[in-house]
Amino acid sequence: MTASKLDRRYLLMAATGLFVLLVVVYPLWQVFFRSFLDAGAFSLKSYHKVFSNPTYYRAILNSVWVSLATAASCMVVGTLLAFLAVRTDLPYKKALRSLIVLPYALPSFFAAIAWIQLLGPQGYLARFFMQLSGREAAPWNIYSAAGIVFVLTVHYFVLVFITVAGALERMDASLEEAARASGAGTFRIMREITLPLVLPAILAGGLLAFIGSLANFGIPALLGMRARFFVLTTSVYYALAIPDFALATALSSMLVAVALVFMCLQLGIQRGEGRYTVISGKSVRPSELKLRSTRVPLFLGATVFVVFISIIPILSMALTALLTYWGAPLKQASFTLDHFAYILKLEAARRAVLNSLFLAALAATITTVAGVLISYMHVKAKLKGSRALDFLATIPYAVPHTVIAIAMILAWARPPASLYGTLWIILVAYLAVYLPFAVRTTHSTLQQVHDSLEEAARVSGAKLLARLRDILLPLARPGMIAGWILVFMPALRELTVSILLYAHRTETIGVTVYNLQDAGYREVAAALASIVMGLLIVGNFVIRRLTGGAAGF
Amino acid sequence: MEKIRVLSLTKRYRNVLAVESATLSVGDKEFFSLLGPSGCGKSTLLRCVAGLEEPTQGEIYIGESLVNSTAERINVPTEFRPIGMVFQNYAVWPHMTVEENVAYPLKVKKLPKEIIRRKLEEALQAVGLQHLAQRYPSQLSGGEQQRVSLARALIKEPEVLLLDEPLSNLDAKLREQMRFELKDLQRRTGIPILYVTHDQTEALAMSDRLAVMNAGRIIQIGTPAEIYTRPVNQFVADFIGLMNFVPCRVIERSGGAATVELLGGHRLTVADPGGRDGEAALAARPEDIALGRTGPIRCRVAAKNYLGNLIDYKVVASGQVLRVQTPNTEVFREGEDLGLSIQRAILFASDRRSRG
Amino acid sequence: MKFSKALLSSLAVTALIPFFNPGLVSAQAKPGGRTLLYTSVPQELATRFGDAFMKTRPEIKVEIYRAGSTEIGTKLAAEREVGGIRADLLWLADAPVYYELKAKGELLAYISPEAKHIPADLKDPNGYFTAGRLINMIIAVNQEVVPLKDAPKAWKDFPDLGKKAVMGNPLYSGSNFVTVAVFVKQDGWGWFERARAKGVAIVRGNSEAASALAGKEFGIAMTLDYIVSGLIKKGAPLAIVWPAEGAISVPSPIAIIKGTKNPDASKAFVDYVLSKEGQQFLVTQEVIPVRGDVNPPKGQPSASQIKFLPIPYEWAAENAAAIRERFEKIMLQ
Repeated sequence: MTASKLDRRYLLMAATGLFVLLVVVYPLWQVFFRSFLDAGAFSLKSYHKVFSNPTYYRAILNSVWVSLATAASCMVVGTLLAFLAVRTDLPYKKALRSLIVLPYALPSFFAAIAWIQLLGPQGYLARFFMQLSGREAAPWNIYSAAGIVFVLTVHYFVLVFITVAGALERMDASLEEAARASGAGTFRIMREITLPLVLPAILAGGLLAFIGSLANFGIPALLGMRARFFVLTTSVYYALAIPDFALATALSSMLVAVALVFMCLQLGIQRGEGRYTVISGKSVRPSELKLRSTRVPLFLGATVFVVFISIIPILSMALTALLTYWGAPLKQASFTLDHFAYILKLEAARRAVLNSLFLAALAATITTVAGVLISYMHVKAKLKGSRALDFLATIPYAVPHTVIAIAMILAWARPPASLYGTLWIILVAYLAVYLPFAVRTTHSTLQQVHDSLEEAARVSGAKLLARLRDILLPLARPGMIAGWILVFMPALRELTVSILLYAHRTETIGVTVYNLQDAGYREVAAALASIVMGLLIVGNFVIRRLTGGAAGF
Repeated sequence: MEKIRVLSLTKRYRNVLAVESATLSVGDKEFFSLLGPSGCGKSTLLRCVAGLEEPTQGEIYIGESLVNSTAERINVPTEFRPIGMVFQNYAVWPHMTVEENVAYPLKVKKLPKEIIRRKLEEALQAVGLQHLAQRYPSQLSGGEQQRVSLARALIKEPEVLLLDEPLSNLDAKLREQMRFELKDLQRRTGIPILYVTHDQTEALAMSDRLAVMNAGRIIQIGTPAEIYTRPVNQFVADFIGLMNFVPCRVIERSGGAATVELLGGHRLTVADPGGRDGEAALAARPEDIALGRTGPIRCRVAAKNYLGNLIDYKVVASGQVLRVQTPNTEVFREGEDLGLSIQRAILFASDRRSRG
Repeated sequence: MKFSKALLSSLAVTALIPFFNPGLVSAQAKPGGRTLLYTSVPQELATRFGDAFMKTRPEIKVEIYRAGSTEIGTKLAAEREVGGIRADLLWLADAPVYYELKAKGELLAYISPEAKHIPADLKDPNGYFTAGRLINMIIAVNQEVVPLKDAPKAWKDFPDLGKKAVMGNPLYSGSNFVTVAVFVKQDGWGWFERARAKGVAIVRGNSEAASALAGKEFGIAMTLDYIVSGLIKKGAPLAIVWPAEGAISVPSPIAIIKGTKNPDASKAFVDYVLSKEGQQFLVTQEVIPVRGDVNPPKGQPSASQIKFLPIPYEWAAENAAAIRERFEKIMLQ
């Protein structure tokens, strides 16, 4: 028993470190250092441009306030729904949960299109309103900053919902019962006990929503142009169109900087608040709040809301797929199945579905495994440097996907590792894009597993791999499956990265939908997107069935 | 032969000194306790022995082998140490049955199935859980989970057993029972035990020797009787059992004894190898103070508690409150004027700093 | 261990997919038989056209990367940073890009034997690029919003419809950029200042403009004729107005990249694009041909019947950054 018995956790740490280096750090560095280049020499010219041109510095401010507003509304909506879905006796809670998560599977530019179809100046709801009121126009305008915040909220509140629902589920019921015993009423308990206890989860979800909207391109691109409202991501896109590589990378660096500032801020708040309430191996079932007389009205309210944000956009998409052309009058002659027949016959579309399934499944699996290992090192083993690793793995979340795609070309298009033009470069890009999600979800999952459970295995003589296999992974399983799905769903319809990296025969669903859309085949694109949504819904149902409801949404 | 040796072990977290230069050894078949208030570093010391924390400085031997040495850069991972451990919250894996939990240490050793089978039966029998082998932990009571944890720690026949406040989550009755069972188990197996507790009754009752810790340092090591009768400072005296501290002044010294003046001029001569001068504190256990109608120091009974075999008084003498415990042979009333005499006492310097 | 089984089986399934799908690993065809085309031509059209070509030259394999002009621009810029453009052929709607590429020395000069049938103003005199199709910037009208008789007949009247009018963003779209360059070269920025003052909307590109028009969000749109024709064919109540000053006919040039690994295959593809056969195939897909000896699609005016505005390519290429910046100042800030 000597020094030769090395702690294998450091080996594992080195391996994951290498993974993060290759997938995240090296590619992003390739982008970052180019922001300081002008004709091959060091220069701050691009940064000077960013701060002297009102288009660009206004874009920074716009990005910040739109994302803050989105995060705030996500926190309100997500928390309220999580309360209803987890802690009350609301009927059909499970179905409610499944439906709430659905819009997340919609590509964000498709979500934007769906909302234009609904709320746009000639959207279905706008026309309905005009008929009802006899006015010339609807009293709202989706092509505005408020419209962007609205669609971003619908798209991202799910992140708050999931984190808060998780925290509420693992909260010790006795904390609330103690307050009840002290004579506090239901709403007082909610306000003074429950809310402060899940506040870290609310803030963590809010941060995800903030950074997500900060890095979102599809929604501000489709809704902001007409309002002449630009944010950082759309400015990056411009800079690339010019093309001014240095400016694009400088703007991207600004974006990452803004995200980092808020990440640090949130870390500071959380440290002040104390960490999550860690619950030991003993399982406690949180008590259900009896809604009594408010049960029916709240149920109706929640149903209307979920129908509005989940079902109507999907129906609107399906409706578009069924119409001969978008905007056609809603009568029988306008309906057709041609677009579905067309997409099913299109070889490229079938190939895209297979490619995307392959990429999404592999990306979800690899990032989940990497996420577990990184979180393990940080949360459980608490190794030196694991915090930095965790942090590095989270950075890509704040980087616009276009920039990640460029980073991949710069890093992996040259020998000896020339992945360019193959599916593998898309896979590496997906790994970078989705690693932060996997790290976040597995992070909170592992936090729930009490340290002593692993320590007991160590004392029992179990080595690292045995501990992961026998103790940690089985205990973290439900969270891991949820995390897997959280990567799989968006990866299945990823667009921004794939459009720059795909090559002959390596097209993805997102690319195909976009190319159809771009060529004016909006209805065919909607048909393909509808098929993908259908696959996701069925897939989710199957997973729930197989795991007895332990996984899936 | 010593089974555990800890040599000048220091553990520092950033700017907090959790354990400072601790040295101790646990002999074969010895039941050794680490006793101290919460946050004194006793659990950290235990976790260092287990390899769950890495010492900042110092050496640890388990049996013959050096498992920690900062000088030689040795830190044997927990899984390679010949130890068994029971955690405060049991740490029974909720996704495994009792049988799976207990057999796990043998399973990772890849022992043949039939050997595992046999040892498992022995281990379950030893803790009396044969009938619950197929249950999941959520179907067990706290005491039963504790036994699972104990069986799991013993099944791999470790050289030493580490127990981290294993009884603190049990109710009083069960705690009492487990105390006897643990002691009995140790007698049968002869396994040396390093036991962490903040409960002094538990430590006194079970240990062969114990170390009293405070603020990261070991204050005193000794047998329960030594610790109880000859505490090295006010902290130990105060922490172990009940103790009255009476301010006094040394007025005369001769050899190893000192004569002090206390409680309104009363004089008393006590053994004092320390050779203190001036202001001091006299420490006397409640049972070492005699109470009677007559007695050199006048006092009045302020409160009385009937404990069954004993009677516990609070008396006031010259404005000083003292606890006195007497056998139930003679009973005094509250408010009664009495006399007391101190039969046995220890002298400490009155400097408050010595209480650590 | 239920979970690890699920994990394993999902891995196994994903590992199997490549066997059903030869596209996963970039096909390694025989050397000399492959050419890679980057194009913004609509996916379906590009695919069908490629298939038609491969029928005539089965030994050559055309691989197609299709994306919007902006994405292709980004891809080219990134590729330049890591050792050069990977494409063999480039077929975009963004004519000015070709002047930039030519100036950077990134194009291969090739005068196709078919080029003699193409009018001189649709090709580079040195053979660096040749128009492969024509797309026309026109005024499209949604007759349910603006009756045809009230629709503007000329570009100069276009801004008057104010909020009912929409155009694509030249910062995204090449054909819009050419259009802006034509207007500015002729009359300066007055047209745009008027458009901004009256509230003409800017959307991303021509297909979005056409979709929004079909969706009745606008009454008129500046967009491309073939997109509108497609919508009319599907039954949308749209109409095309050929502006009095002249339409802007944006050639969509095809060029060979200098670093092509397979000049012969690339040249063969260019020949086919410019050939009578190739152009006739494009006509069946509603594309306006570049050859005088091929008739335009049914219902479309032939090139000789329409008035076209001259395009100042070299001027536009030289002043590209300034034009974009000024446009942004006037229309987007």
